[in-house]
Amino acid sequence: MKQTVWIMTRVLRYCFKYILGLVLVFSFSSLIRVGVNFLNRNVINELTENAAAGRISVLFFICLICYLVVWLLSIFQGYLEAFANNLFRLKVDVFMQKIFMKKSVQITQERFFETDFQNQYSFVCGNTNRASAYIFNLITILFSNIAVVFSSVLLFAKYEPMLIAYAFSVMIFQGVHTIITSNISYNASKKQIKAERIGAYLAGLFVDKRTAKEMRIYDCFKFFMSKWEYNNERLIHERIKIDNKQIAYNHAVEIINVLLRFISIYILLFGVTRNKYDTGTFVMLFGLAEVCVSGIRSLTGNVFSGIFGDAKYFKDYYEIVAPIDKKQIAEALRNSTNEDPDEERYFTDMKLENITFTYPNADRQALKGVDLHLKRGEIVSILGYNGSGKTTLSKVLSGAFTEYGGNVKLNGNDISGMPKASIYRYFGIAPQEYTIFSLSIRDNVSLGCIEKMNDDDELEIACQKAGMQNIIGKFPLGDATILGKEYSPDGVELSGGESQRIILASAYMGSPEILLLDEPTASIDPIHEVEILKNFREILSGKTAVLISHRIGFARLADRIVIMKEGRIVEEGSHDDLLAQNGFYAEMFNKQKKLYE
Amino acid sequence: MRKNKTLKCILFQIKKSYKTNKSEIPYLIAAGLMEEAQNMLSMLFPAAILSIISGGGKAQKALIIVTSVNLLLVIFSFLVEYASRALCLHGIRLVNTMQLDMNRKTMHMNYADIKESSYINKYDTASDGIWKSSDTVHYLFRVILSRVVMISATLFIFIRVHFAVAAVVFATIIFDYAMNAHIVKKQHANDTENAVYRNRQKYLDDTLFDQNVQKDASFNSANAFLLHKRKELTKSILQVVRKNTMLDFTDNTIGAACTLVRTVFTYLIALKQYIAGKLHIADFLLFISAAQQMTDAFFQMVNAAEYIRKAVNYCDDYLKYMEIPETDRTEGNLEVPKHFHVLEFRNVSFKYPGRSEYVLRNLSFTVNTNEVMAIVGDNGAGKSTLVKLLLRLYKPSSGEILLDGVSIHDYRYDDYTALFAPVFQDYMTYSFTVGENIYFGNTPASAGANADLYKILDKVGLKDKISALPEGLDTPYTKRFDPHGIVFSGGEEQRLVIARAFAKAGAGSMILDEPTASLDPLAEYEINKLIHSVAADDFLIFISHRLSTTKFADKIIVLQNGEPAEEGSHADLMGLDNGIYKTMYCIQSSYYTDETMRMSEKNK
Repeated sequence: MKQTVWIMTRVLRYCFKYILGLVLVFSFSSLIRVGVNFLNRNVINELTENAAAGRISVLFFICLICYLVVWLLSIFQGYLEAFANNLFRLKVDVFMQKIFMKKSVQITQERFFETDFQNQYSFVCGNTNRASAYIFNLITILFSNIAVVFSSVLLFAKYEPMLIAYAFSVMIFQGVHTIITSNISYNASKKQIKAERIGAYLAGLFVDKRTAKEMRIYDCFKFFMSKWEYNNERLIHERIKIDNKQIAYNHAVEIINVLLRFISIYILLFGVTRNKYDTGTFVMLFGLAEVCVSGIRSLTGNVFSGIFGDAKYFKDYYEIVAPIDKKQIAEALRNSTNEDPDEERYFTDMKLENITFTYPNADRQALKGVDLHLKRGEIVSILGYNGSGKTTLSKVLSGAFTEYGGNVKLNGNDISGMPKASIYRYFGIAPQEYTIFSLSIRDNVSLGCIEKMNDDDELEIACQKAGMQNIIGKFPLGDATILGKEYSPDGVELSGGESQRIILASAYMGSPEILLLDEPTASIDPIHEVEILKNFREILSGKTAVLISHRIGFARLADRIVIMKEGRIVEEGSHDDLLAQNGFYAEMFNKQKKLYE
Repeated sequence: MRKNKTLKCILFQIKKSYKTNKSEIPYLIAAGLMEEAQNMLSMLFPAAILSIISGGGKAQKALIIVTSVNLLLVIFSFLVEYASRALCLHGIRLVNTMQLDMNRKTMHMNYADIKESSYINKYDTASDGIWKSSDTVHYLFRVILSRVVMISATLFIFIRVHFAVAAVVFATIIFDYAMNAHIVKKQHANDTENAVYRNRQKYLDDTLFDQNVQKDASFNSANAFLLHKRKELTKSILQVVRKNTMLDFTDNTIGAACTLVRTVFTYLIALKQYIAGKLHIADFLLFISAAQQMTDAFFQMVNAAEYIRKAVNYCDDYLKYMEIPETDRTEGNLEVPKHFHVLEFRNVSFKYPGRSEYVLRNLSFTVNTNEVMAIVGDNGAGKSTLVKLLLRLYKPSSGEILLDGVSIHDYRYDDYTALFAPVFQDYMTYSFTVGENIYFGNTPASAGANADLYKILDKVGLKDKISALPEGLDTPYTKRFDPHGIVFSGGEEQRLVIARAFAKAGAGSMILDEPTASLDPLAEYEINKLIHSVAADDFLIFISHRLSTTKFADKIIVLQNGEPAEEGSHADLMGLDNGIYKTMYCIQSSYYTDETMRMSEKNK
């Protein structure tokens, strides 16, 4: 409940105008429905009393004209509804996404390694538009029914108070029914997330171009298919179970409703035969009872399912978005391009003290007590086999992981209290697993430092540093060329080496204080690698760099080589020092050297 | 032609529905008729009551009618709900079957077609086509059929009262429909314009919600930027929405005007008949509600027809996809000989479909079953392309690839691909179990098979790791779906993929297309050595840009810009003065000499 209120108040504040408009439109339209019934009463009475006697009174014509007005109003209302629906929902969707995305940035990266979190994340992602739908439905239902129910109850009170009891009992039964069924469907859809995720994963495999190759050569298609079918069958099976439960409840409430309706008609018949009221009133009450009960049913049905069903989705949404207080929202909603680019960010040193780190769900530590001191102007290379903890260390270093043991001090201050954004500002990062967005080359590069987005010089320098000039030159559109086909059919596909250079360029963007490169040349061939490395020190111009690699050639560029093995730093020093130590590095170096002899 | 398409698609849908579930269509018809009965009862009910009351009838009689009508309504609603539930599951099953057929088709299609840039659009269109045409049978048998019944019934009431009413009702409805069709066409044009934006929006949304993207979102300002892009898109979309809403408004106004004419006319006629004493007050009520029912029924029918009209196009997209030729699979029917000796590339040139530049030019070489071959060269030299040609994923633009003198395309596709166990550069690992990643359910899970599997794991050096796991080969791979899943390091993953190649039954030829790029040279060398020592009854082909790791090959082919530059053993190639191989080799080995050191010292 708290979560729903939290979200609702934010949305209300965000688009108050629209909501007010919607409320007016719906309340008005619901009154029309009652009005029609009231008109019917007069028309019938006119017909039975006057017209039967061959007279047509002025009142009758007034009634007919009222009909016309009602029709016209309902057209206008339809238009307003459609318009408000489109505008409002788009606006709220964007708003909800915005909060979610901004929060995403603040979520520490290790959480993305938790299976439960992954499930919750995709659950919420798939349901962000639920908020707009929910609020819109709530407003529609509340305001298009409240007036109906209220005014018909007033008319009941005047002509047949017994009907109020009827309406009230319908409400109670419907309410109970909705609470039960919406609980069932919420729990069911939560239970199905995993199967749905598996389904989506498998469906994705069938279109993946890499899988296409393996499917053809390894004949694993049948296997994928059987998995997929099994998963579908399981989904359907669960669906049946839920449906059966729900249908039982539906039937029960349906029977009760029919019985109640039966009683209400009996009450009316009793009234009209005892001449408590005339035929017109009978027709009106008869119509009103239907309108009022359907109003009550949709009101209780949806409001309850809102509170007990949809609101639970809000809870998940809230759990991911929260805790995020007023100040954080204000900060999050502030466009990051507005951040002060000239803020002082001079790097002097960074100190890692006894760092330990364990991945969620993992049984062993990825880092087992690492000490590292990084000084300005140094090039440090972290060298080690796959799985030795190099990348993990880099993520602790850059503040992506926060749940580590030990201390990280940036310029002497512990980073655990600092906002993430102010840590990142020191870094230019080329991660090992990168994403190339289906945007222009320019956009992809400038994502490294969005503040400098429109700075052509900066962009050109970054591209030059990464050796990208001939890539850009290849395309007629230059750096405006869109990458990938997803966004534009004219997009181009880059090779692995070319993509890696784009990531490299984005790391260079804005001349960061610390350059953090994780296997930056893995798919760049040796000849081009030499070109990139040749001028590395010049390019860096006194700034600091951390190079993560398993390649010795790359490591030799560094002032200091840090050797990692099984989550620990085993050796540290310059190339010559390490060779003289005759330890792990020397062994690795000599073995590899032998390959070329 | 167009008629044929409509007929073809509708027949296809009926056939598919019948095949998936024989009882679907009877269910649909029954549900539709039941709903119609409900509608008719609700239409007659108020009039019946009014007629009793105004006729001074007894309350008991009215009570009987009320009771029986309500009971009927309950029974009908039960039946309809029951049928709907069954139908809903049928719908899901139908969609699943069609999706399954489509996936099978995808698997059988030419690889070149899949790699085509327009492919993903074709796939999406066809996939959309399934969903957007899946209700065809429903509309045909449930909606249209039952609405026709309703229209006939109301028509009967009208004709009894006054024929002119029926005529006016029809005329206004048809006019309204014609205008509506016109407006829908305009809206459709707008939507087509909007489709580009919608696609982009979809991409942005998918990207924004991609966990892998979000994981790293904190490193850059991607979120803010993508959201900004989305906001701009929303503006463009809103413009189209506004246009369409205006059209909606026009449509509504026309519709309302028609309704007005219809209503006024109906009321006037009814009034006239009533005053003339030809119409009872109860009939008056019935007459008015019949007019409403008829209009509703007509519009629902028109909507259903409209749906089917659209669905035919969507279904056609699907059928078009299903009719994409499978030439690569179907050409060639020779049996592959049990023993073969020589593979030959003869003047092979290749350019990717739709491109003008050649990736491979005039490539000729032969390799014998007892030779180990290495193909080396820079990125983009055409190494991986060569593998794809060999595996019949693509066809050479010119020239031939021959196995024992016979073009590989003349062999039966399945037999031929069964010969090879390649490990691709961009190999996939799957979030199934560890064992399934190796044998894909192809091997029966007998005790002997498991022992064989462990033998393979021993070869690639994974045995200890996997036997240490409590669930062994049944351990889920990756944590994507299971928190207890195991995550392999890059090196272990590569070994796993190599084990998969070893486990492929009956495949005597191995191809390693740089699966070891992220390993250190030593590890790559060891893996290559390992494969060299244990594998390949037939052909063994290594591809690498690291020259140190393929030194041992009997024959090394150096590719440069798609052309074979040099060929020979390591010793031969090192003997060439200013040779490409030699130059590359020197650069790579310089990391281990003082060359680089001097270079970087100079920079210091």
